[in-house]
Amino acid sequence: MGDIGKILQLHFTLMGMNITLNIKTILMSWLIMASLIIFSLLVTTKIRLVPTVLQSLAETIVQAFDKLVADTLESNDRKYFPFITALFMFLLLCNYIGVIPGCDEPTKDLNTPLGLAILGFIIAHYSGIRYKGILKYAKEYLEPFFIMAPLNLIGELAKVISISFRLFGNIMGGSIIIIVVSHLVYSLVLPPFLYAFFGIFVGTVQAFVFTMLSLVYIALQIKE
Amino acid sequence: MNIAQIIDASAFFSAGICMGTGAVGAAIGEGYAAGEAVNSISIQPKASAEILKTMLVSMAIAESASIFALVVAILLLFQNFTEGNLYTAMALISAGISMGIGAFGAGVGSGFPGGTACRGIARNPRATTQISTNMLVGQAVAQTPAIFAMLVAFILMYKSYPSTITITYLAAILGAGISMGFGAIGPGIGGGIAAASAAEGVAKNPEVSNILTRIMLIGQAVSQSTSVYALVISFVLLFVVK
Repeated sequence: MGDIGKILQLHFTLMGMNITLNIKTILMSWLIMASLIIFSLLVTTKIRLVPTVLQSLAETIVQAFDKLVADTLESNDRKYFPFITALFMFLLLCNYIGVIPGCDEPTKDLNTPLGLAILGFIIAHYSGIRYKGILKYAKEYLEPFFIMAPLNLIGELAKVISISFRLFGNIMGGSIIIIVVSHLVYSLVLPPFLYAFFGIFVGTVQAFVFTMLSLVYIALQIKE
Repeated sequence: MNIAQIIDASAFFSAGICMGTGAVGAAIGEGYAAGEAVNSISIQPKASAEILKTMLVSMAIAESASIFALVVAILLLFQNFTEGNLYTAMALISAGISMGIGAFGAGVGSGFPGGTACRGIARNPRATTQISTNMLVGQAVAQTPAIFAMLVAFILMYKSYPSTITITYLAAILGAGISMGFGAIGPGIGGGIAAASAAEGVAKNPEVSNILTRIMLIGQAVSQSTSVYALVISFVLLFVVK
């Protein structure tokens, strides 16, 4: 029970620098990325008119997200569609992988959600500058009064904090509850249901929330 | 009585405050969502499957404020904060206050959109997708104050403190928790009200759901600026005051 919230780390020294790697997080994310790449290759190499099971699964995901992105951004420009779909599929697998014994969710490590949130932040603000021009973009920070500029700035940074901690807190919370309850009931009966609730159900909802918020923040920047 | 005992005592006390107060808000919010869902099924029995699904998803999100409180409480109970001084003991109590009271507003607030979304689906079952997407975004953003409270609680628990004890910094540590905890109540409820009305609006007129979501987000951001003030004051108390 003492290892709650601990993440497997690898410490070593390279050219005089102390380096810490969260080795399990990295391995798990690579595993997920590899499986996503293999899935995409399998699906796209032999596209048939009558789809196979895998192909129809991929078509469902692509269609749903194509519509969602087009509706939210109110344009048929498919520039953001690959990013949003890939983000969702990556997060979904990240949250599901904890169900497999011996595997840990990479999203349990704050670095993964924080990295993805910073990525979304940069994309949103870069799009804002591209679409509106730097002057109009900068002017939005001075609204409603110029005194509000520092608070607007903190508000934007707080979005990164809130979006990443929301995912991290939920996944981490789920895994901590599973550890504690499994310990209390000697791993009898309850854990599979807990995995179904926290891994599959909460995992799906939170992956969608993260993706949707990233999309909405992009939409907020490129509008007006 | 040595310092390790004092730290243990404060951790246990704090875990009690954290989970006890943290359970209140989410329960009220989820109860509201469930009540509205039952009401909506009586209006539109054909859409009962969709309404039930929306209710469950909205409850899962509303619950996360309490789950944050549970996480902090469990960490307080089971992690050994052996190293430390009187500051650590005070910081643990402060972390419990911050997270426990901070979970109240977000729990209540994120229940409202769930309830109105169920009513909206009963009223306009064809707009289910738009309503539930809007509800998810609204609820998630309404939870931001609770996330700030969790952030402050984590910083309080894992920050390293100076070795010389002064009464002013002890008070500052307690003040940081109180500022964030109470500061998160109002913005959570307020953000929830905005999201609830947005879900209702999408049900009335699904064509303008994008505009509604955008206005809702702007309104929530402004109403949550008070929780940003609380966060700023907590940071000032922790990192600037000596």
